[in-house]
Amino acid sequence: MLDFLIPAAREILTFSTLGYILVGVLLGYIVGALPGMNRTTAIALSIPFTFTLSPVAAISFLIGINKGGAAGSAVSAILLNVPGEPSSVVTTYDGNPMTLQGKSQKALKIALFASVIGDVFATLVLIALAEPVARFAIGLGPVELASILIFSITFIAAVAGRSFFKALIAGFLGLLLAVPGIDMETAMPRMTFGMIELYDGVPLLAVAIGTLALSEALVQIDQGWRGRYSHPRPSVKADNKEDSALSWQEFKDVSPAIARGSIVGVVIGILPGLGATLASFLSYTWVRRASKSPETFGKGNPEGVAAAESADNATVPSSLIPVFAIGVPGSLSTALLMGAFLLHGLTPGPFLFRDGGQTVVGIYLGMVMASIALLAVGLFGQKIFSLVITIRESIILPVIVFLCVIGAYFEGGGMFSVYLMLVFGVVGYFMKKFDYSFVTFVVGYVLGPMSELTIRQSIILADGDPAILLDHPIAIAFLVFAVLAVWRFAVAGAKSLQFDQINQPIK
Amino acid sequence: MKLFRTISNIGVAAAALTFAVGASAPAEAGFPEKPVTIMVAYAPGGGTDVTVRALVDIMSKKLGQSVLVQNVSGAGGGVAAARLAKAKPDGYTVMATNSVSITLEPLVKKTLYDLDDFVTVAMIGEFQGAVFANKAKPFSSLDDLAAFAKQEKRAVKFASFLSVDRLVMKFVGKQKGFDVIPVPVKGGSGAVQAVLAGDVDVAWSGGSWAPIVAAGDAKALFATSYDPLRMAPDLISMKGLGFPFGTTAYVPLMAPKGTPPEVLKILADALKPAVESDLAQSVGKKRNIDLTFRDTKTANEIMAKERGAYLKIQESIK
Repeated sequence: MLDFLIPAAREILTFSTLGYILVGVLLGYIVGALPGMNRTTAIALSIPFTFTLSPVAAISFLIGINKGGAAGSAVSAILLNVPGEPSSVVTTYDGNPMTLQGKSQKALKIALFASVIGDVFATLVLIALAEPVARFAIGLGPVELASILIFSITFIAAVAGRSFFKALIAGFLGLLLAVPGIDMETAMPRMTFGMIELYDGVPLLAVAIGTLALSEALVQIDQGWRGRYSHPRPSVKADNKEDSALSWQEFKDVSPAIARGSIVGVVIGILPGLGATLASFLSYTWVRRASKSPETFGKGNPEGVAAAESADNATVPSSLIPVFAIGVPGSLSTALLMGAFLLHGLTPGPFLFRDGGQTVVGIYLGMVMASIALLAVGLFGQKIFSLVITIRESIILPVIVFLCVIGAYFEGGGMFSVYLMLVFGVVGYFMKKFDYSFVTFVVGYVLGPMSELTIRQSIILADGDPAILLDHPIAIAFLVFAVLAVWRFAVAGAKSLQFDQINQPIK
Repeated sequence: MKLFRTISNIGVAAAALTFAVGASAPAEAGFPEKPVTIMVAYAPGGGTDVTVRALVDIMSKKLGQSVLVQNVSGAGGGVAAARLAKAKPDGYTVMATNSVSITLEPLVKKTLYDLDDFVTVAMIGEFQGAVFANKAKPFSSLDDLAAFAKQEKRAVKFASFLSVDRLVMKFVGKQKGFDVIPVPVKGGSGAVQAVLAGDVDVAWSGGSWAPIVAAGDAKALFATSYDPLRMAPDLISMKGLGFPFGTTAYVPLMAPKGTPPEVLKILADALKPAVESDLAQSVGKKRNIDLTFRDTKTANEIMAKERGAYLKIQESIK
């Protein structure tokens, strides 16, 4: 590999290639920051433009979009409480309170550094360990994936927040969205109400944009209507220099969270189908549980932002590990990237190194360059994006709604997705108003389809016989964790239920 | 400042006028007078999608109008087909899909369309379907598999994602005396994953199997087409195994029924050089799709033959 380094470096370190990488990261960052716009769509739309570029430049450009998108989604999450993507929901938990406390710059900086570190860590894992790690990951079949997902669902209980009951309801409502579609075993439509658009299941992105972005916009519009706007808002230009800057000590304080987040991101990213949302969610929960002051989470604890963002970004390079090493894509965006590989004459998989060693090293270098570009774009973009919150709500909110409509239309290729988004925007609004745990709903609908697929696959493979677990020790381990988690959280939850009942206001 | 604004306004207006005039002046009168849209019935990045995108450049030049690609995925091609069936038969909306979604799907479930709602413009290519297994499995051919199933006294579990794979596995199972249980997976890459993880006995795929078989991580048992595959001529096919039929899956370009024959000819004539171009052929090789152009008449005959074959196979497994 090292003998490829010099010629590959010569290819990458040209103005035009570096320029493309920078443009890719910038594009991804902007798309990530805009609510309703999604980086998968950006990648899909950009692939044709890369036809004329060299393979190294083209792939680095597209990966740059992916990286930029993962980092950029933190921006609107922190500043506007509107996550740019489902994976940034968890970032809003502590990111937005920090903005309301005037610490938006600090939050943005933490998010950026966490994102870049997570990203670099995962890129290094990719470069050094792609082959053996991918082999291991591919050896994990439906049984293991199912148990990992079951374990993840139990985490819903962990972030239940104040009301355990409401969190469960929200979680199940999310899972319910996995039901409509074509049943995978009988190939018959299930709960589709005769609508052909539902044959592939509820278009999750339309639901995501509705419940995450539109609902928040509606909530803020509602607040304004009730006269709760203050203008000028507690703004970016914090009078207190301390609130904008990130001190070395603060950075050291969030480092453990960043480290944890990066590890979680890499592990979850490698496993096919799990996704950045699960990574950020698990990372946040882990860091919160491990923290000495868990009650400060959700009120502006920087560790929360760091944990979420480092995990979120770490999934991007690590999700490429199965693609590079074996040629198996784990998500839609990696499938798109694999398509781009093939288009440019590279066959991902075990022969990639043998047939295109120099190109691969070139791409690795390109990815490292993209990480650097991300840092630059982020630092530069923050100042500009932060100005957004000085704009009046009456201008921003309609723009957000507009972007949501466009994003849903693009994604679904038609008005059905837009209508669905509108419906779920209203549903999300009511959920927020009645204090139903929002993140459990998101986790439910993100994990639902994959959980059902893997659990049913496992049951079929086992012929309904639980003895198959004996062949899969990893699966047993995760199921045990799941039981422990339920035990631990449910006990805490039941106590909080009692608490709720005792403190019911007298009607 | 005002002068600047005025000048830039005039500049923008001039540019807009130029585009407007330029766009509406056709290369020659008649079809097409505006951009043509090809609906790809699957998600971006997939085999069909990448193949079509490799064709649009040359097609646009030949037609004198842009060719736009629109992804309408869902229901294994059903959503796009349903939309095409309702589209105006003027040639401006066509669809690239997996022929199975049109020839087989309406036979196995209730769809909003059927084969006679469409006319085939031309064939773009042919999928290379084969049954494959993890290299560590103790069988290397269909007969081995049948013997294995009898010995283990259980059904064969195979990764499935299209109705055609369920059909062909049920058919060979019935002929060779073993039961089959489909394990649902997501797409060709899901089938590859299932095989690599070792949890299923075999899997079918329309082309994703080729790279891992070439890498030595899997072995191909047999091709599910009647004649040997163009891209794997040494792999035994259904004919070689002694079966009277095989399954085929093509990539046709479809238009709504009633599209005028002259329009079909113009589209087919623009498609031919695109399919035969170097770019398309190299993409086809990479994605393991055999890109051989077949004209309107041949294409329609192939679709009818395919429908006939599936009807017969269905009968034989009743």
